Order: sequence, then C-alpha cells, then structure tokens
Amino acid sequence: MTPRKTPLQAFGFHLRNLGIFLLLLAPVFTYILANNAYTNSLVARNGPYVHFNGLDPSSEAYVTWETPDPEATSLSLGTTPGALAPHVTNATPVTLHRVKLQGLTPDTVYHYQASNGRTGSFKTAPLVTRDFSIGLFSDSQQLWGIGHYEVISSLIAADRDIAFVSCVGDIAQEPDVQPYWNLFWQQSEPWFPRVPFVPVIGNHDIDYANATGSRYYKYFGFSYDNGPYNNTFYYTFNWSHVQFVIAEISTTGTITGNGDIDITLHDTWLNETLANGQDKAFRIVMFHRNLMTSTTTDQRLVDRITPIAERYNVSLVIFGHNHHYERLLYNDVRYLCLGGGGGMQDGAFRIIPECEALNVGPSYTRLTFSADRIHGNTISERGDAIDTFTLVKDGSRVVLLGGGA
Amino acid sequence: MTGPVPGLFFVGHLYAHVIAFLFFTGIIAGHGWAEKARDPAIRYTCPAVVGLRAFLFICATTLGLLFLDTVYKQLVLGVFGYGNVMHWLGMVVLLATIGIEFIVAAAFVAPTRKALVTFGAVVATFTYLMQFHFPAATDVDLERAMLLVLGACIVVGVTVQGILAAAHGIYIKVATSRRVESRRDTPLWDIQHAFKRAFSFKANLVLWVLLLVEFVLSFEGWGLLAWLSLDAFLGAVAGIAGGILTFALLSRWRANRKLVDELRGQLGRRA
Repeated sequence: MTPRKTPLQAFGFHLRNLGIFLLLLAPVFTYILANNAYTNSLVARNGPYVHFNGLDPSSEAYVTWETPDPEATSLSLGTTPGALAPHVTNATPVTLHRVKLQGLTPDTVYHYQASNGRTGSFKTAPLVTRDFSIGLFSDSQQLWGIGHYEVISSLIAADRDIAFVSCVGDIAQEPDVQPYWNLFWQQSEPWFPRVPFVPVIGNHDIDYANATGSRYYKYFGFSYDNGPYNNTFYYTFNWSHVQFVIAEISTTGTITGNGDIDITLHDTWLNETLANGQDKAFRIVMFHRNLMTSTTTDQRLVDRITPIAERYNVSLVIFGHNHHYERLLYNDVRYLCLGGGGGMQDGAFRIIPECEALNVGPSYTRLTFSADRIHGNTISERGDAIDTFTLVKDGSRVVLLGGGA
Repeated sequence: MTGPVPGLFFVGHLYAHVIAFLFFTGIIAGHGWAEKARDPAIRYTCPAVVGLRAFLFICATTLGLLFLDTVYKQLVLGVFGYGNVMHWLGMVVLLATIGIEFIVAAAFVAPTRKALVTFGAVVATFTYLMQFHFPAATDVDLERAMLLVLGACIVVGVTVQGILAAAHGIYIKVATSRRVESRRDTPLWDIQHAFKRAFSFKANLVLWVLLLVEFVLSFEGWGLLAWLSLDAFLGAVAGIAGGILTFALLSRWRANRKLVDELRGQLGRRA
C-alpha cells in the first residue's frame, strides 16, 4: 500500500528541499563566516594615528599606536622626513602607546616615526584664515566584519589635501569587541599615515556602564583631564576660521535617568562653546545621534538641539546613526546625515519635508571651507557625485547657493 | 528628476533585494521537486495543496508589487537622484525582472476569474497603503510599515481568495442539488508553456546566481553594474538592441527572399 502523502509532500516538498534551500544559502553563510573569521584573526597592531581630542590642533596633537605585545615607547619627530629627532622615549613596556605633542608650530607639516617602525605626517591647524578641506563619513561599523568601510577608506586615501578626517560616530560595531576595532584601524591604514583623525562618539562606541572599559576610551581617552568638564568625551577646536564642536549625543534624547552623561552639563558646555565661537566665520557641530531624517526622527533631540543651533548661528549640523546620506533644511539651518560609511544601509524611507537630498549606499563627504563659503561634495564608491552644495556666508548665518548632483 | 517628494514611502533596493534573494532561493530549492514546475499539465486536486499554492502566489504577487514599486520610485521618480545610478541599477534591473516574473506567474499565466479578482484586491490594498495611507500617516515606524504592507496584502489576498472559493463552492453545491448545470471557474487563458520557456529552471538559476552575486557585492559597497560607466552601459544596451533589430530585419529579408524565390519557381513551372 502506498503511504499517504502529507499536503507538503503532495506539493512536491520533501525534507531534502529544506536541505537544498540551506545548501543554496551556503555561499552567503560562507561569506559571513569567512569575514568573521578574518576579523577575529586580526592582531591589535594598530596605528600610529594622530588625533587631538581636547587639544589645540594648531600647537598640540596625540600620536597613538598599539602593539600586540608590551613594548617601550619612542617617537621621533621633525619637519623634514629625513631629519627626525628623538622626541620622547619611555622604557615602560605597554601595548597602547600615546605621545602628547606640545609646542608645535601652527600651519606646519610634521613627520614622525613611531617605535613600531611606522612613519607618518600631519599638518597643524593654521591660525589665520586659509582654505582647507575635511573628509567625513559615519557609521563605519561592520557586523561580523561585513560592510563597505574599506571602499570609503580607499576614497579617503585618494582624496588629497584634507586637513583631517572625521567619523561621526559608530566607528566599530561593539564598544568592547577588540577585533571590530582592529578591523577599523587596519582598513584605515591607506590614509592614517597622513591625515589626523577626529573621532565622534557613537552609541556603538561606548558602554556607559563601563565607559573606561570601552574601546573608544582606550583609543582616544577623555577629552578633558580637569575642570568642570572632566571625564567627558565632548570637545571643541578651531581650524583656521572655523569652529568645530564635537558634541556627545550618542545614546538617547532623554534628559535624565539613563546613566549615560550629565546632559545638563553637556548642554551648558555646548551653549558656552558656541557662544565663544561667534567670532569664527563658520561653526560646525558634529555628534552621532540623528535629529531628523527620512527614516527616523527623534523629536526630543530636535526640541533639545535645534534651538541651540539656531541661537548660535550654526553653519552646519552633522550627524549619523541612520545608515544613509541625507541633506536637510530645518528652520534655516542645514543638517547632514552621513551614514553611508560602511554599515548595512537603511531599507525603508518616508521622505520628510526637510529632506533636500537622499541616497543609499557607500558615500564619502568632503567639505571645503573658504573665507566666505562652504562647499560640500558627497561621492559614491565610484567617485560619482551624489550631492553637491555650496553654503555662502550671509551675515552670521549661511545660505544655500546651489544644490543637487 | 523629481527629487525627494515629501511623504513618499518606499522600500529601498537593498532591502527589496535581500527579500527577493531569500524568496527566490526558496523557489529554486522547490523548483526541481514541485511536479507542476516540471510539467505544467499536472493539476493539483488536494485542497491543502491548492490552498498552499494560492497562498504562495499571493505572497509572490505582493513581493512582485513591492519590487516594481521600488523600481518605479528609484528609476522613474529618481528619489536617490541619478548621480550614482550605476551603483543601484543592477539591483533595480534584477528587481524589475523578478517582479514581473512573480506577478505574471501568480496572476496572468492561467488566471481564473477568482485569481484576477484576488489580484485586483491585492493591488488595491498595496496601492492604498503605499501611496495614500503611510505617506499621510504621522510617526511611522518604517520597518513595521513595510511588514504591515506585506502582511496586509497577503491577508487581503487570502481572505478574498477564500471568500470567492467558498462562494463558488456553495454555488456549485446548490447548482448540483438543483440538477442545474454549473459554470466552473476555468482559466481564461493559458500561457504556461510560453512562460516556462521564458522563465525556465535554467533562466531562474541564472537569475538566482545574479541575485547572489549582487547580494554579496552590495555588502562590499559595489554592484553588478558598478564596474561600468553609464555611457558604457547605455552603449552596451544600444549595441544589443541594434543587434536584435539587425537580426530581425535580416531574418525578415531572408524570409521575403525565400518567398520571392518560391513564387518565382512556381511562376516558372506554370510558364
């Protein structure tokens, strides 16, 4: 007697179909596992890289690098590549080496060689008005090592004459998983030796329950050693005629009760800092968490931050968190969301009235500052123009001159 | 280019592509064993199988509409602009092909009246939600909205199909009890053989491989056509179109010549 078929069997479905289905997905699983295995195999041999969290980039900088085994620290420094003089030596063996450089001359190219044998250079900030460009991306985080940050890194490497590069938060996928950070540093090697890095703290970079155990703290430290804003990650600096304000808005839009940072203190600092920067031609505020985009809007953050941006004539507010590129206009202030830096891109959109330009996929943004204008150019992995715009100084504010790709 | 249109709600090519890849993988896995996939003449009679098939076709219709909506909003409305069109064009072309295949397979290969009414109901639900409801709603969770669109279309499709099947069943029962001849809901037309030729297992396998490659490339920041410039792509398309046209004209010319030769031959014999 023929056994009675179940409806699924009658439809032609057998357990082997499930097997075939899984077999067909095998290339995807292999791709994921291979990337994850590669990421986990990376050794913490990172840097050196230059950063200036909490310092004055016209005269100070940190040079940081990491070695897999504890070693002594030494750094040679000079303004001519062939004539570097020993700058600092510390015999205490450590794995994370950080040298603070002080007394540097503004607008000068410095060359260095770290004790791990690697060399690099950077240029200090000018004190006078001078044209310069910066490179920007956000959300380079790569889960299981999968993502397109390497493409962004090659775009930065191909971009010449940029003063510094900033990742507007979510540098790595997890704040306490070392391989993810190794991946970021090692994929950044094409550009690290010649461009300083301006980090912005993101929600994936910090675990506030264990802030000093997070890799963001390990690699950049707190911005201030003393004073009212001690043990915080927000900082500010001036580069030529532009004030850059790196705020710490990474986790939430609530005022209290989340155990992250003292938001009242943060916003006091933000107001004070921007008030002090009114003599600058442009004020750029950068932080990680998105205010409004065509994927999500955090109304609490909109209510908290946009009045400050408007009050202090902020020229441009830059954030990430949402994984796509978007340019927005809200109450005469322009906002950029730069989430095309490496993590998986957003899937669904509902375009908000504030949206001026939108894109999904790898994107890298270059801002060029001249005396009276900011020119923005966002490009794809092929170098195609995704968005271009020019903001022209109009009194203490800026207005859009032209836009569109 | 229209540019960003406030309120426009859509699913981007990346998410649509991931959904397409997973669903298509299921189709390929089932292709070799589903008897009807090999032999279009087979008719399923088991109610559970017929129901399951109808359900899968409603899912395919919904996904097909979603993919074509993505194609329309990116390619026609230009929501992302055309600055980096080559980055997503490969994915959009694949979505268009699969979207058309899904919709034709589900609703137009051998459609009954019930199937066409169900298709109409799914299209109406999809259009209402995508074009009117979510664009006008405030405070939308977009991922949830996307799932809601898919879920609502499937529920509406299954419900309409169920109601129509039940109503038709009752009609047949009543007609039979009254000994009156009943009208069966037979297919209005049948293009199964032509469809199977166009979307054969081999063709689907090629599509699946392209989806897989695009799937991996998209995570690496590239795409199938990202290696080409727009000019090179348009040149290749024009070249292929020109080749097809030339081939068609030559075939026509050769056929005409053959006809003329035959006529000449016949006339010669008569003379």
